[in-house]
Amino acid sequence: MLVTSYFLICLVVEMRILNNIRNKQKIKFLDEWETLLFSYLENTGLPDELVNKIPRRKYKYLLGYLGEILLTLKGKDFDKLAALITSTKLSGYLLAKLKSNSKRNIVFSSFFVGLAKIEKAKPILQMKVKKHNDQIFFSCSTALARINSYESLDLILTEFKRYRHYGYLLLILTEFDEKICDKIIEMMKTELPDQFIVTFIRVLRYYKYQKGGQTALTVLVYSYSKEILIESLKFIEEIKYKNAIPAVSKLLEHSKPEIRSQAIKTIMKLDSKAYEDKVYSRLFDNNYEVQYQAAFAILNCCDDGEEKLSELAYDLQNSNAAAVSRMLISEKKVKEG
Amino acid sequence: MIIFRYMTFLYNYLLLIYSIAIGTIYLLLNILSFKRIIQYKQKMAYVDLKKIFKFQNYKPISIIVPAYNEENTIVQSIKSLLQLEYPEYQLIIVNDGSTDGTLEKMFTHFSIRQVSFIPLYKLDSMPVKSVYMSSLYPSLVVIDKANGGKADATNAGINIAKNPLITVIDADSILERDCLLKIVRPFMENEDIIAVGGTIRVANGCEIIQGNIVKIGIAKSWLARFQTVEYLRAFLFGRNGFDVLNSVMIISGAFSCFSRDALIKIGGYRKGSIGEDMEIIVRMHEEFRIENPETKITFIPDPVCWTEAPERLKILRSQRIRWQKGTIDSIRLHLKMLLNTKFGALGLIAFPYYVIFEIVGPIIEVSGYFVFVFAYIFNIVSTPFAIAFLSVVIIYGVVLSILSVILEELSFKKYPNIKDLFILFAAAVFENFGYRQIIAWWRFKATIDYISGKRSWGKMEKKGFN
Amino acid sequence: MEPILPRILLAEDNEVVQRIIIHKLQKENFSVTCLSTGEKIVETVNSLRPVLIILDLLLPIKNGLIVLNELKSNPALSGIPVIIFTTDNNEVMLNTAMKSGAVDYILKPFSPDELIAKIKHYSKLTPLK
Repeated sequence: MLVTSYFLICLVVEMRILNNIRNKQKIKFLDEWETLLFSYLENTGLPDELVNKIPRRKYKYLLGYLGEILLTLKGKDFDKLAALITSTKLSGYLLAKLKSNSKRNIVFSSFFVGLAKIEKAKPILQMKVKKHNDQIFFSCSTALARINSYESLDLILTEFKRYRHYGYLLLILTEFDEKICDKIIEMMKTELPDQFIVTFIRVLRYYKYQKGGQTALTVLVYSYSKEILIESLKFIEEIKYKNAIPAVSKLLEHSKPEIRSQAIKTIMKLDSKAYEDKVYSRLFDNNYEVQYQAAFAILNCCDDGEEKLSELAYDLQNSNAAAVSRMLISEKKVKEG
Repeated sequence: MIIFRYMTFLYNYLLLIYSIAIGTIYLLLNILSFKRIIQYKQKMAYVDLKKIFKFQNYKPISIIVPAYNEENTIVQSIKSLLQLEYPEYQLIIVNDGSTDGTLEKMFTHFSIRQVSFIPLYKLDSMPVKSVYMSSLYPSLVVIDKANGGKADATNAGINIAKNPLITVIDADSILERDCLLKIVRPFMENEDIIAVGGTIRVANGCEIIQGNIVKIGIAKSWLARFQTVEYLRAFLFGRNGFDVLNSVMIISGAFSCFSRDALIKIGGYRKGSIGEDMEIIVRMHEEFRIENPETKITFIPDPVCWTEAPERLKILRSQRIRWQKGTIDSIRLHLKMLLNTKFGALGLIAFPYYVIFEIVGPIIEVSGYFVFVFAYIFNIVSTPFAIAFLSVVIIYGVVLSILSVILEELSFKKYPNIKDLFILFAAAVFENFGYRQIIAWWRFKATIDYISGKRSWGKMEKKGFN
Repeated sequence: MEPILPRILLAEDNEVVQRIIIHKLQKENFSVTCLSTGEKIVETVNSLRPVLIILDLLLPIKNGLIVLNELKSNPALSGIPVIIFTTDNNEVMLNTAMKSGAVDYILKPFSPDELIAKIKHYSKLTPLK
């Protein structure tokens, strides 16, 4: 057993040393080639010329650098740097890695082909998405989304059912451009599991997609799921979809307090004047959160909000509403300094 | 007389078996948790946590910080807590009847003014004198109350917390900026999760600027170094290992996160408990898992919280005595979970583990050493046996500690200097020649004290962290 | 005699981004001082008096928002224009920063040309020493 430990220690130390060397190489590479990269950016040289000067074994350093930079840039410089991948040997290098069976290579190259939008990679990515591995599925779907491969959308959604991590679905869908919203609205016309609907509405929220109002309203009227109702309410609030006002006002009396709370927030953003009284009545709700939300809305949206709450603040009949009012008024005083 | 010799001989074998057993269990825990850590790292590599800001699908958090006599560090703590990366959170500092200038410092630096408040819940706590809000930072709330201890202060904080997730930390915990983003993920992925713990690392030796860890380094004192290895073994691997079996029995109060509804349902922290952080978790298992067997309490392997380990023997001693008494107390209060099949691996594996190895363990170990020495002197055991015995007991320990260091190297937040890595290995070895035995002795005394009725607390001072 | 180049302070913790911006600014005849954490920004601004500050909001040790407030509450330094440079993830933080007195902002992912144009525009507004 001691021997094994000794062996393992040596292994670990060796790994550490190798890692140090790799880091030093990375920095050395950058120092050597950075000036070349910058001058390429400024001048009209061809991407090929630059890449051909770099030995193949240093490709991983170049890609590492490009990866970081492409995530933070856009515009003319982005295009030129992306061209270093798409119009040179690097493209072939990455496609070869993508075709391989190694998970590491697939994940690595899918990141770059997606970022640089290499169209040729699409068929390979579509094949890999079907592999039963969540990392590969995720990185290849993300790549397809970045390339805006809408024809792959059905494939992605079908394969996704294997994993069911809806947070990841949201990440993938938002890598498509805004046109995904139209597709989503189409898809929402059919029967879908609740979690899909929630995710789809979140995508619409992410893009603040104005044309999604009607869809959200339909969902609001027909759905029973608490999560779906809350997402729809938030979306309607964010795009200020006034057509939904009647439906939202009905939800002020929903049986679940979380929905009543959110409905208050939404209605006050849409049409605070007309619904002042209805919201005021929520101050006497039996749930603290709803009362708090109502008081907050009255205080901040109504002109005479502070007076209304002050009147209520010492109402002995309604001690809860009074206490909430007192609390919010004192908080407001402190915030105003 | 022969019976006596025979018993002594047997006892030595018992100790041998005990050492092999505990070593093997820890080995298994290490392996289980290592797999989990690799999975976690792979998952996090391609998830951009910060998109939570844009997706707006987060749950707001209330952070509760019980504070007692922290005037030296409270301002810096609050300043760095106000800079955590999370879309919406409330910071509640509970001044637990400090006798120094803790409250005054908050008045001066954060412009706190009194507000009218209504406690939402009625968890047991000493009376609250007033509640303040900062006019500079509206998310900062301060509760001033009569002294009642950490459990009590936390309950007072929960009573006015307005968000569905509650994070409880120590006043001197040093948190990473993205700790909240990391700790809420389990709640978002699984509705049945009611509590999540974070991994704690030792801050001694790290370079700390304004409450942030800037550079990770190893402590200068060997006592702190031994504790560093110990934390790696226990936290990074021990507790994560139990997590795989859904048998997490303790989440450190230095950094823990709960669903508020769950806390309210079980009535908050128990007043007067010695190890309140363990007691509440065990109680949560007991009360929730009967109703909903899918309830989970989990750990994130990411080291997001750094804490200062005591560097003075006296303080370390009172800490370990307190921990031991807390463990026994928590188990005793919920003994009906032992070997209870309703609780799955928790009742059948984790509970017995704690009883055998954490409670009775120190007694076996300490008495075992004495018996062994006695037996060797009186030739009840032969020299080869003695050597074999020592080898197993000590070497198993050494190997285990070394394994912990190796696994740390393969996972997170490594020590950048290769020299520190060697120091860690050295500490892993030497830990077993004295340190481990002293800790066992203290735990042994604590167990005896507890059984004989001495259940007091003992003080614990800490250095500031700047 | 060498002309004194106008100085820009860049507060950004991503090394790759740092290097690109420094390079581009130097080409436009600015001199650049770069800091990766929030800790020493105010004192550096005080001693160097740059013509413009590019400030990332999420800086280690002390975040950009707090640094901004400190700069704007110091009468000697509040006149120096500050451009916020940050990801588009946190709208609330960005709005707060703009309300606290930043003159403009640039979101990441960013176009270096756009950034340079804004820098040139706002730096002209500060009188050179």
